[in-house]
Amino acid sequence: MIQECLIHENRHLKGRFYILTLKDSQIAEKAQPGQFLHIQVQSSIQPLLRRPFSIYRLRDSFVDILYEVIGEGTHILSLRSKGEYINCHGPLGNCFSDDLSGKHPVLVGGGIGIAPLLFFGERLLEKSHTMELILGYRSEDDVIGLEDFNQSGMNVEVTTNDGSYGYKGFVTDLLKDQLHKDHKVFACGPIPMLKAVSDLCSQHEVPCDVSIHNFMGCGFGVCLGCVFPSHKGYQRVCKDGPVFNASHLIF
Amino acid sequence: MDLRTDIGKILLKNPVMVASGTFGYGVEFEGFFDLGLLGGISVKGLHLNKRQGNAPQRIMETPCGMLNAIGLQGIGIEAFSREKMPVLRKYDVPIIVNFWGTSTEEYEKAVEKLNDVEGIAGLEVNVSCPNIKEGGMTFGTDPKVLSQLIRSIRKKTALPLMVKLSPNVTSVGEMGHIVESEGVDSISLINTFAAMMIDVETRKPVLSNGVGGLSGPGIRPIAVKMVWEVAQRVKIPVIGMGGIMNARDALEFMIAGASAVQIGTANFVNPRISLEVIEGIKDYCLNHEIEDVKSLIGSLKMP
Repeated sequence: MIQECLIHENRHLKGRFYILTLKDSQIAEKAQPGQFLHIQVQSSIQPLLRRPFSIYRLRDSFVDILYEVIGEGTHILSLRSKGEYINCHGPLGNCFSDDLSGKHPVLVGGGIGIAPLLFFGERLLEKSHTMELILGYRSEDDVIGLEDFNQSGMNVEVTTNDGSYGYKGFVTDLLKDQLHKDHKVFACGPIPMLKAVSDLCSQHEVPCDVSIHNFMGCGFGVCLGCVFPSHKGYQRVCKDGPVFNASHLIF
Repeated sequence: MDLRTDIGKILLKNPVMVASGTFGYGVEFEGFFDLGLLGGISVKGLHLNKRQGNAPQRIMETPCGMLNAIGLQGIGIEAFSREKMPVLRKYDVPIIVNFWGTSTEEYEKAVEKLNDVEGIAGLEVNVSCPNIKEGGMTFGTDPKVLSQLIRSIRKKTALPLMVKLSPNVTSVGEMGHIVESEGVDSISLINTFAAMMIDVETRKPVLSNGVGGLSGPGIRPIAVKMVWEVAQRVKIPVIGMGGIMNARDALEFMIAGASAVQIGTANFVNPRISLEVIEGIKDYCLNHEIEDVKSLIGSLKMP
């Protein structure tokens, strides 16, 4: 589905972080937790490619995208205004499975990688699952989204690398003390964090699904630009993922 | 109004094809539009065997373009013939199979296999991929090697033969002349420019392959000039490509001398772009009272 979507709001949160709210009932109806939108930040040949963003939250026909201004594309996105239309392709990719097979879910997010976990956490709550939630950030300046998770009724444990907010250390420092055979971990964040979480889970024989972020060309499986190595050859993050069983990947 | 054009022995219902490497095996685009509306499809470059391609990182955006070093990841000719061709055969659209090898023998074996695949309209010899260590572009940049390779391929097949030229040469016109002398039916150009990006923090190349191929609208004017150069040197049809984003871009190539065009990188941004280009060419012809699109080919008025 490729369409012009109405920007309902493009709200600055703090520092480099924003929430873009699109009003689009078709996307809101179709989207599943873990999927992404491939957004053309402006209709121009510069920047040329779309940018992939996880869906952060759905509210009726509103679709929220939590994003961090990193480069030119996200900078242009941050300048877009309410009432304008923006070209979106999606929802794309696979999704987090809410079939837990009796396991207790533990959600682990790092930095902007917390984005798909709110949507997924809300889906789990709808299905009457309780969960553990650990979110890690570099420092207090990067701590975002907590009020949204709390408002939805999720209890969050927070870590920062420098200890400026919450527990001082990495998400894995908290995770390793809690991990239990009956758990299933769902993680999204920077690759080194996902590798650490995945290693920890395999040591404890806990199943782990990770959502991978990568540069993308097309976003629908054609250009083969966003592949990630796995035991079954290269996997397309956009089409075979972004959610993978961590034990299948080669970090 | 007549939008038909021909590229050697292949008749196209309109001049808009899609370029190899940007349209998968065609079937990936079934959900976006009726593939039968296209002038032609050039499928992802095939090797005799399955190829896993280069290690990530494979792509990076550039000013008005992108750099890629996919490394010709592909399912191989047999799997293509078994899994993709039955789907493609349902559509009334010429299927051009882009193929490559790392040696003359591999090219020859590939041709022999492709000769037996039902429903292929023509072959596009890839001698211009800058992203593989052996073969690929090396065949397309040395005139002697190129002419010998094309001669051996020509002997192996009666299928219409298109050669996709590399822009990474001193005289692309000369390369066009060489392949025409070896009896090919048409020439497509350009493949990507060999290019490089460096991460100044790590001082490493951005792509794991070191270098990659540059494509997109940023290279279009160079591509137009090269198509113009080749079209003047050869009598066989030329298929122009390089950064086409809309109908006006496509028309530039035709006026420069291309009988047809291929849409490449733009497919990634807008999978329906080819249809928009076809419609735009139609509108242009209407507005300019052009009854036959072929009359545009090489109609450049040099000052």
